[in-house]
Amino acid sequence: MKNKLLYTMALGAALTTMTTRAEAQGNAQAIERAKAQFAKEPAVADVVEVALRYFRVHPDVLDSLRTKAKTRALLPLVAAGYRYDDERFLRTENQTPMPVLQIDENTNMRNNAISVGAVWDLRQLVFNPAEVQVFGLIGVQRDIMLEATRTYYLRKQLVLRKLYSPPQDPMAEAALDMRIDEFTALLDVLTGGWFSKQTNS
Amino acid sequence: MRSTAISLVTLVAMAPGFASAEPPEWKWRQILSVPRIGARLTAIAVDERDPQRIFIGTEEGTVLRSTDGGVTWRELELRPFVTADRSLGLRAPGLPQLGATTPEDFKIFVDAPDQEVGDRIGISSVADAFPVRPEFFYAGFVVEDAPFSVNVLGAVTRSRSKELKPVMRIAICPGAPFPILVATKRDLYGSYDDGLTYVRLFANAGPVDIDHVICAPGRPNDVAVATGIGLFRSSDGGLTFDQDLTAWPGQHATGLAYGPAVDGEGIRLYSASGSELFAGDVDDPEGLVPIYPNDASTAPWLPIWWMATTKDGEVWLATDDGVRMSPDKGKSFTTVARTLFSRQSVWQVEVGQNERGDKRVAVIINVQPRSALQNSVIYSSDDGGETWHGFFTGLSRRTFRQMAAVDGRDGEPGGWWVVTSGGVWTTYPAERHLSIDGEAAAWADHRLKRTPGLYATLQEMLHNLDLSNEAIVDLQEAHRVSAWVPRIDMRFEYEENPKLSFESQSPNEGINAQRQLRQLDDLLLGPSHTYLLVQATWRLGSLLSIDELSSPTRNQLHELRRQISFATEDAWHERRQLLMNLSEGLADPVQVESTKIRIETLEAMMAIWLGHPYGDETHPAETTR
Repeated sequence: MKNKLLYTMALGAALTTMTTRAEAQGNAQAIERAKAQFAKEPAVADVVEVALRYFRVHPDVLDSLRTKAKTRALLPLVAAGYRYDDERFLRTENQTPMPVLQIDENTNMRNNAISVGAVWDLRQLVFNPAEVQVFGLIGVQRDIMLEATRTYYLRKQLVLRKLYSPPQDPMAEAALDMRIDEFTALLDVLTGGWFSKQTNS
Repeated sequence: MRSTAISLVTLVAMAPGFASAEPPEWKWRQILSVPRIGARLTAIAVDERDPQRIFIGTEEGTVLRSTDGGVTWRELELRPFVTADRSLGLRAPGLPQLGATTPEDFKIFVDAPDQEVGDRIGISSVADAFPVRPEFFYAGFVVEDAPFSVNVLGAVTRSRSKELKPVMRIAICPGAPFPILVATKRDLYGSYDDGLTYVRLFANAGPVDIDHVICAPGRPNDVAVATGIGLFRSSDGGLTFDQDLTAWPGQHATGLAYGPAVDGEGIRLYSASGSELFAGDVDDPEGLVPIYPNDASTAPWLPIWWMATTKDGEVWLATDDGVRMSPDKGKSFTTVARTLFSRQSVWQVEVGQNERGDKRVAVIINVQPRSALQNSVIYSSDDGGETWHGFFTGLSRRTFRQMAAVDGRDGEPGGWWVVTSGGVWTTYPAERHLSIDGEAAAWADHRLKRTPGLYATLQEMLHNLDLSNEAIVDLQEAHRVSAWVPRIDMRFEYEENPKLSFESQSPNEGINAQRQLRQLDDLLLGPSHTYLLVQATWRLGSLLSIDELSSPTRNQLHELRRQISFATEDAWHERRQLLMNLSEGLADPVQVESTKIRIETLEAMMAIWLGHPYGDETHPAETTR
């Protein structure tokens, strides 16, 4: 009886050890699968960079806009005009009674004029109100960064969940896939399709 | 805000009712930090059966769920198309117009000679000295008549106009058809799969607010909802609702609580409607009857915002004029610490346990009016409201939104949770793992040691974005100095006047027999005319006044600086908190990977604003630990 108990305990311990080992191996495989999957996908820093460029609010673009806002003062505002003036003068003059004289005059005066005006607002070399407007784009930049990082994070969390502990229910698994697709599509919207291209390539 | 809070604490310390007791032994630790813009937090619920399960409501109507005590979070949407409701102020891609000084398209006009042409570039301010010739043909640009400060900057810093439907309250009802109930500002949702998906259970027609949802302890099918038009109750777990017609139907129900019945058996429902409190046993066919105010000693009676009950029959009311308490299930009420809380708007009162397992009552006080929801502080009392001391000792500049308490049981400790607009803090001890991911801990520890301090990060970020105070002052100075630089107007005109003249003279025959004919043909090439004008204009008045960079533009720049600083501060705090979690040791690979990904996303955002990789080994760092 005692031997039987010992045998049962030993068998139980062996089974437990085997199960734990199998779980560990499964985890290790899941980790490897996740790392392999993530290696194919763009890094978050690249996604943010592309999203900002796609929405034209990358810091380089803002710097360029500020520079252009100042240097555009060197280019003048130009106004040009042309004038054509056709002026006719007819005159008939009769002198009576003495001495009698009749004068007929026909005068045609044509006027051609061109004018060109240019205005340089050199003050804008020092300060241009448009510079201030560029600051407003920082807020747009912030929104896009937050949206891109948030979407990226949510998507990757779902991918992690799918790789580490996939749902057993087929409906739940399909729903999870749909959510991953939704966030992938959102990232594509934010990057002009770049995210999927990178992932697929 | 901090100084205000400190002043209040000082005042409180001098007031009767305040005891200079030892500060709580519990250590507050932050378990969630989210960016200020895009995901403000509003509500919290902790599962009493398993305090590792935490549900957080957000301003934009989503629920954050953690099943591991706050190490990892999952954002769950109440509706499938929540993306459209997000509070981010995203605008269409492409560059917006930069402002009024941007020229429009080149245009050609034919104008009457007497028409004013003052809206055209280059001639508006010098029309008299610098007239345009000819008047009836004009080619050039037209300026839009709009001040430059309106447009992008104003639109970005303006407050969000989109109506949000924040989560007001979350109820956990084990055993009910929908164990998770979430009340947003307009709708009530229920989840039958542990908060993963939701169905809409209840909503009133029109813009009627929902403030509270609760379910009765031990009777999860009894659900009560406080709305802008009164109390609604369900006896089938939220599948159907009926309006309660005994507690001021049609009036705004502002607070709800379940407590033990008067006879000791059953459950009693408390419902506040403005400054009045109604109560009645759930099964009592007479419904709810008014029980407060019932005594002149508790005046003034201002709106009741929150209620909490205890198993021994205490009823606590958070009102716009302090705290009221009934020790006998609502038969009588007293004013708690009148000197301390008088004229203080108390947003929430909650009852839980202290470090020793005894009863602790905590209140969230709004120093400013309720509408502002700012400058809030939390006090607690361990002796039934006789003495109070500051409770929350975490480092947070955020507004306190809600708190939750779970009593300890079966040897497990109890705890308190506080949700601020941007984070969640708890006294509940962190889970310690025997087998941690050492590689991840080392990774985090290394990054943590090289994390620049918050001040240094903020300074660098503001400097990089030209949004520091110095940069704004420089911009202002540049505008002032620009007054010394003239505006140059130059005009060139060329004009020629060819003249053809014919004149004949005929003498009268009767006067002079000799016919005389004189005819003049004259062709004159009229004089040509060349005209050059150069004119310089100095706007010296700008040396004295700073109209362009005065309010509102300067205010907008400072507002933008404030918002960007907040976002950076949030990212810095969240990253540091996550690094500390990793550094202290996590075992679950999902937790580890999820945390690392989040850290990397935060670093990506910081890198854009700082202009260099954040957390990079080569970056000169200021150690924070």
